[in-house]
Amino acid sequence: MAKKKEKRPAFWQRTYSPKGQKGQGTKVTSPEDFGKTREEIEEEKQQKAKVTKHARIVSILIIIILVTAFFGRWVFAVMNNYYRTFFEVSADVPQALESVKGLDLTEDEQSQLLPLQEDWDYFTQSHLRDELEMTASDGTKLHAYLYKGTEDKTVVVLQQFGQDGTADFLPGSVLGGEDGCSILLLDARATGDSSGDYFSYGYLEQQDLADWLSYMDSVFGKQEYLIWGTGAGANTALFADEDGLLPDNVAGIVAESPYGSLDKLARENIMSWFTLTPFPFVNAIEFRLSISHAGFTQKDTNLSGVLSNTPQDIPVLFLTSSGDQYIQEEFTSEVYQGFSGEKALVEGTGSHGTVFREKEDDILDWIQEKTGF
Amino acid sequence: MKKNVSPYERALYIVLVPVVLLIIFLNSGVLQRALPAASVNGQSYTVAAYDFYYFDYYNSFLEENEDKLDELGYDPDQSAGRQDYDGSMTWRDYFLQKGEEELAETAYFYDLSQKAGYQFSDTELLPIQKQLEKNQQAMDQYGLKEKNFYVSYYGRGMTKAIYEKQLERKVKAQAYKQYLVDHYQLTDEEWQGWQSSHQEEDYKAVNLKVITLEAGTDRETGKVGERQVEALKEKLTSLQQRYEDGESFASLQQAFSTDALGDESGDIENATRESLPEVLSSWCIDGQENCKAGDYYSVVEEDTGTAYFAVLTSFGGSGLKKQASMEIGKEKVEEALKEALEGDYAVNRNKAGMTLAAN
Repeated sequence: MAKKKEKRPAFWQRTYSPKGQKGQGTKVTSPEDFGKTREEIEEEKQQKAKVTKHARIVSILIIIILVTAFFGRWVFAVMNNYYRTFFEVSADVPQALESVKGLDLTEDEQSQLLPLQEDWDYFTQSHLRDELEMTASDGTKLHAYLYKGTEDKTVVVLQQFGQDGTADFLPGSVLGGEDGCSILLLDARATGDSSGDYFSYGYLEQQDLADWLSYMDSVFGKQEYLIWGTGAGANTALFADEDGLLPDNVAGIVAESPYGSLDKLARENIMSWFTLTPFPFVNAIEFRLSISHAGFTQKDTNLSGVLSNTPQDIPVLFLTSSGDQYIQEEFTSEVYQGFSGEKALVEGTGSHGTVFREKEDDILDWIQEKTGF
Repeated sequence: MKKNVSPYERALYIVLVPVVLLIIFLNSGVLQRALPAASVNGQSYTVAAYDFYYFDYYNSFLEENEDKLDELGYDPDQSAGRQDYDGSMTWRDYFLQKGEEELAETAYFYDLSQKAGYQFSDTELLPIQKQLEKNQQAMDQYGLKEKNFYVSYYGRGMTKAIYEKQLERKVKAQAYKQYLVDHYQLTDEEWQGWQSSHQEEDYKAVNLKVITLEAGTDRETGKVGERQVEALKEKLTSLQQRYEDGESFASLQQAFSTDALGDESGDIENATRESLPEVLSSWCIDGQENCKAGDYYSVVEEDTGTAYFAVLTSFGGSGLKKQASMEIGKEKVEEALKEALEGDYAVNRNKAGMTLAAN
């Protein structure tokens, strides 16, 4: 059988010998290698391998930097948005609160609240509402609404975060309507028609509360006050009490759903409310706050930090609900346990904001007995 | 080895890139701000300026007829150009016509005011600020940025600056038109003609200060019911009590009045029966012989859910001549406007610009 003729290799595939001897030397695999020694080819190969390795490392580093930059930018953007919403009280507050669990009522609860809401509507529609303006101790211009009653007794209402003085105050139809008390509904700083760049969850607002009481006494004569705070409003009242800022004509405080730690509340709920992890978002927001000119840090907003102080001699009624998914019962219980002054606790079973409807008699009985309102 | 780009890819890039750039350009609003859409009395209006009048009328139409669009036969979700208005024109044609009437009227009265060197008061210019505030509230409510708001509601190419300029022209034009009506000088002939056909009795006039209060609405139905009227009566009683206790009318008016009647201070000069609600005219016009300056009166108009607290400051002269001046003045101004719209102030459309307008 004839030997199969081998295909003649292309010139760069032929073996090469530096001394011109056929069959010896490095196999030349590309045209560029033509005319080079074996050592030179080997060295070049090693150089190329090093370059490839370096290029790979640089590429990986670039990818890591880009991913970090994009991720970091995303974290920054999200953090900035929530910072502006929850501390600078931007126009996004209503939209953000739509994601917060626990603020919506069930259909049953809504229908049960309706009579109280209608009574409050009747009260507001049948009374003249004055608008007051006052300059706080730090120069911030603050605004409030006043339904002037016939008695020298005023219920001062501190609404929760995201609400201003126009929000419902359901006990008002009883306290203001039947009992003739004045109802003063405050716009917290940076909320409603009040000025201010930041909302501090009670830390700065406590002095504002004291300033309002002083203002009311100076304009309308010495009054007796019942302070009713919800959420951050309750924290404001308790901060003021613990820091000794309230005058002696405050007869009582109703603290509805206060919480010991804003940080803890945020960390517990941020996933279920906004589908975000506490780290890095809560940490980033707190860091941002600490380097801002807000005048307070996250630590300052923790009510539990001042509960060890001796409160003033003002009785406090704590309200909470086991069904509250916004400010869960354990947060209020923590404050209740830590509060060392005269206190009582009324617990409902419904959603946030339904305690008064459920326990109206107990609450009003306590108010009458302890404060005379 | 350099990779060859296939001819198909090359063709795609050559066609696609310019098309994309053109689409971006057309959507950027640059053309709308540069191209003229119409001219009136020699003054050219860009597409964006033209759109102000078109959408101003269109948005008002939607707001005023929200509940009866079906009845009128207009569906805002469909293209206006595809819906028939009355057999002879589409809804788009109708809106264009109305927008152009507004544009021409504004141009006419604005030019008149400039020729006369008329100085506008702060009160006359107040509607500008109020409208801008209303826009800002809408932006906050719907979470729209300023640029997006004006483009969404007034067409591609609209900017706040263009909007404000046209709004100012419109407000000034309306204010000057009202000035012409209010200051019309009757001729003797006109006055005699009016007197012969109107009774003096119908035109007794008074000067009043009025505070108006509005009833709240039911939370569920959004309507004013019996309970809301009862609440309003209580509120009115409180207001009267505070006045009797010595609080000044001015401070009460500033704090509580909705200013539905009278000027910003609640003053109404030379109010005749026609210009007052019946609940008030029956007291101070029909019952004039029982009233004296300084008397006050509280009344609730249950049909409308409006309460009035009025103080009679003085009796006005006969309102007959003033009424005549206003009515005849209004007629004459409208006649002059009609003549101008058929003459120098007819709207001349620019074909190229109109393809981009009102979209």
